[in-house]
Amino acid sequence: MTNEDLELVESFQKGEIESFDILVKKYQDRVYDIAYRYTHDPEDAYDLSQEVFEKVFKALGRFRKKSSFYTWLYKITVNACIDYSRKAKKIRSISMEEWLPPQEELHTEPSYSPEAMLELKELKKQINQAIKQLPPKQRAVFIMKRQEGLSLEEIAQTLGRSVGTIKAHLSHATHKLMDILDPYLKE
Amino acid sequence: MNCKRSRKLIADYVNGFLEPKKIRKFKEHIAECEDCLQELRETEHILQLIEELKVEYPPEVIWKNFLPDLHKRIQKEAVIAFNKQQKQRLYLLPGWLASTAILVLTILASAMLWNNEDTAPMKIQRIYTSESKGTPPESVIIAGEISRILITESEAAEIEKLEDFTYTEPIFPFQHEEEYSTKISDKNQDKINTDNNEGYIEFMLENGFEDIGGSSITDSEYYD
Repeated sequence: MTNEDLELVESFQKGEIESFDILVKKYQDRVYDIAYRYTHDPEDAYDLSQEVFEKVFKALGRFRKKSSFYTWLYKITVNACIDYSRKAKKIRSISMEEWLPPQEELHTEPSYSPEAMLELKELKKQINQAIKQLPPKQRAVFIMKRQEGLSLEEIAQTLGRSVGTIKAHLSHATHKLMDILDPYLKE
Repeated sequence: MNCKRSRKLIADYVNGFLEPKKIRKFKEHIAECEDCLQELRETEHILQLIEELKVEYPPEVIWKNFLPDLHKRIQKEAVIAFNKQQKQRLYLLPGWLASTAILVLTILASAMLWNNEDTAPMKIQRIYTSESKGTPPESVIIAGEISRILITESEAAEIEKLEDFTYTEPIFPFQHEEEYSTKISDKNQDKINTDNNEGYIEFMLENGFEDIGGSSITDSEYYD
């Protein structure tokens, strides 16, 4: 644990609630990034991030500092994301039109023709949908490996599983994604 | 190696855990097979796109309210928890007195919640301390105390567990151990134990991936 995090945690545990705010500001981007990769929806990622920090607030008084604060926060986030994936239905209170996606995506690959760009955009949309169709644990393992760049050992430790199990999830997730996307690749 | 086997190995290859000797055979096959090479390229392309997917942030006007929104969320629960705790204590009072006390407490707590939106942490302190804030010992362990009140024992146990890493059994407990042991040779069983592949083989066999990367076939079968 960094000295700064340790001091903030200890300070919170002694009664300085403002220390919690500093930790939130420091890590809210990282938590949101993880949540977004699971939800592919800014509104859901925002809610999920709030839920994560609410859990952290509740539990921080009992945090024993056996791991780094971020490791602990990361595990809480991943668990919340897996729970999110398990929820069959979501209630949307705000329409998606209020969450305007950024436009820079269209400017990142200038070498493509406009038609190819549209196709690529559609393919990315289908990829997001395909990832959402993966079972929760396969999705978690896949995202941690392919998008967050964690090693197999780190994933195994985070989820409390063996490396072999993580390999199985990853392999199966990859096959499943390609199966789902096959019709779009053959077009 | 035939195409069926080659295609089952693509996922392990692109994820970087295909065994070296299988990599050689796999590469030999795709060097000669245009279809498998195409499938490998498609898989690599998709994985590259996935790695490049950007995170979309909410509009700035919403994002900048992340902390105030979080305060409101926690306060709301703190008020509910506080009222609940008081109700439990008031069960000991006569009915009419308890009802009146609950009403007064609810009004007070709600007033604290809605009247001072810019000083969220302080509101929580006021709910829990009737003494003036900032003077020891009342000011200490307030935050820790609130978090202890808000969390249930089962929630606490679940989150505390995350601090400890302890090895647990694989996700896919193998329910047909005898049947499984007849599917693989003793030699490969040893390999499974030493290659840190616990869970992987079982999962693949159960899902029809009989020859995926993890030693579930013999060498003679492999080099067909």
